[in-house]
Amino acid sequence: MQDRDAAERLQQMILPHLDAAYNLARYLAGNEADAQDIVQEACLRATKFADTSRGENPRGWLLTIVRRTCYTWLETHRADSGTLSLDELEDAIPVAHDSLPDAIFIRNVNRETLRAAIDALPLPFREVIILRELENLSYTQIAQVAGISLGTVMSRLARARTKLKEWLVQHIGQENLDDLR
Amino acid sequence: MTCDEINQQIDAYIDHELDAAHALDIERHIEHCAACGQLYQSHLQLHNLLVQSQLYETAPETLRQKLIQQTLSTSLAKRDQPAQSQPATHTLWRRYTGIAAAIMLAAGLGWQASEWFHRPPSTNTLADAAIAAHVRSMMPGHLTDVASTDQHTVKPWFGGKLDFSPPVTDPATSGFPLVGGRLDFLDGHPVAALVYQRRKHVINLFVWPTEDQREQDLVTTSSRGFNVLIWAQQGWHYQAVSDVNDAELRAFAALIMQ
Repeated sequence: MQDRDAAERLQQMILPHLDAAYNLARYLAGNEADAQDIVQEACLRATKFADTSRGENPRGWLLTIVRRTCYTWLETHRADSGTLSLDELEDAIPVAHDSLPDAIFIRNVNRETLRAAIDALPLPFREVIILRELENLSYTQIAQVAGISLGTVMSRLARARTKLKEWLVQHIGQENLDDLR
Repeated sequence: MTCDEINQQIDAYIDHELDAAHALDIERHIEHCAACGQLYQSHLQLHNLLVQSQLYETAPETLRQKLIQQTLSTSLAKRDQPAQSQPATHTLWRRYTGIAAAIMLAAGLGWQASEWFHRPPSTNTLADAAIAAHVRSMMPGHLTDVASTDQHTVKPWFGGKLDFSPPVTDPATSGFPLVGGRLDFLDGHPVAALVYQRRKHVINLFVWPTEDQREQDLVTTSSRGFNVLIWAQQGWHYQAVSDVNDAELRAFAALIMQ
């Protein structure tokens, strides 16, 4: 009976959301091989502990497990897991908004450059960008997956977009930018 | 609203996370405030770029197969096996990793593997049968009997093996390239299986002739993570099975129906 359950869980709750799981792991881990290992391990846990889903959104449930597995895996396998100090993360002091990057618009940018920009983001910013822009989760869903408050989602996403813009403006050739100042 | 408040909420506005009243306040502000209007346009452009640039990484097919094999092996290791053979299976699994193990297990399990994903149907529906056939075809080496992206190779291949020649189209330019063909059985009779690809997903299109010349409308079923579309047209019965989402499978069916 238990064997059939694992296979059923895989088929019903995991395989339909495998792309979402892999996409998140791919961007958090930074490469295909590690992402596959992470997803495999996450799915192993998910098939064993599917009772924790309690009928909630299966994609969100799986992403929560994948995310946690990513961070555990990174801690084990990598010295610098891209975590930030509390000061860098928290918005206790509002970032003085630098309008410089916002006055510059991107005329032309390729996929690889965008990917590099995302990869340059520290993990807490990277994951909210992935979950919002690629996975199309709502702020509430992002809060659930990442285990943070709604307010933190908002502020982190805002800063993530600002950071991305800053990186792009620095790394894209002038000919691909429109400076509106 | 102050510009500081706009700074904090402009992204939520872009993501449609604000209630109508708040959204209206923001709209009014950015209409008259150049700096905040620029901030809005800047973040909006970035958002659109990210959404439209095909940055999504879909899971490789090998990963899907690995997971299936992984589930099977951990399940089987738990089954009542004599104590002597269980360590052997375990050691074998650990020694060969990755695809090698998957192939070995698949070869050893063969039909047995498909049983795990084919619950004995209480009602022998066409959809269940198609899904079972689809899953069987996902076992390594079972996908195509003729592997060719050329419809002019695949179509005649069926001649002499089936007593009909199925219509074969190749909507590759729309993102559903033909991968090949295969003989299969559904409901006890031989059918043509046309294999297509959508990114990293496989679509099996089962085709066989029907004497009923009426058009049969698209019927859609979803079971165990697979979507199945069934229809009939111009004397042919079609069933499309895949784990791509319903919208994409419908798009595929629309292309085939042309």
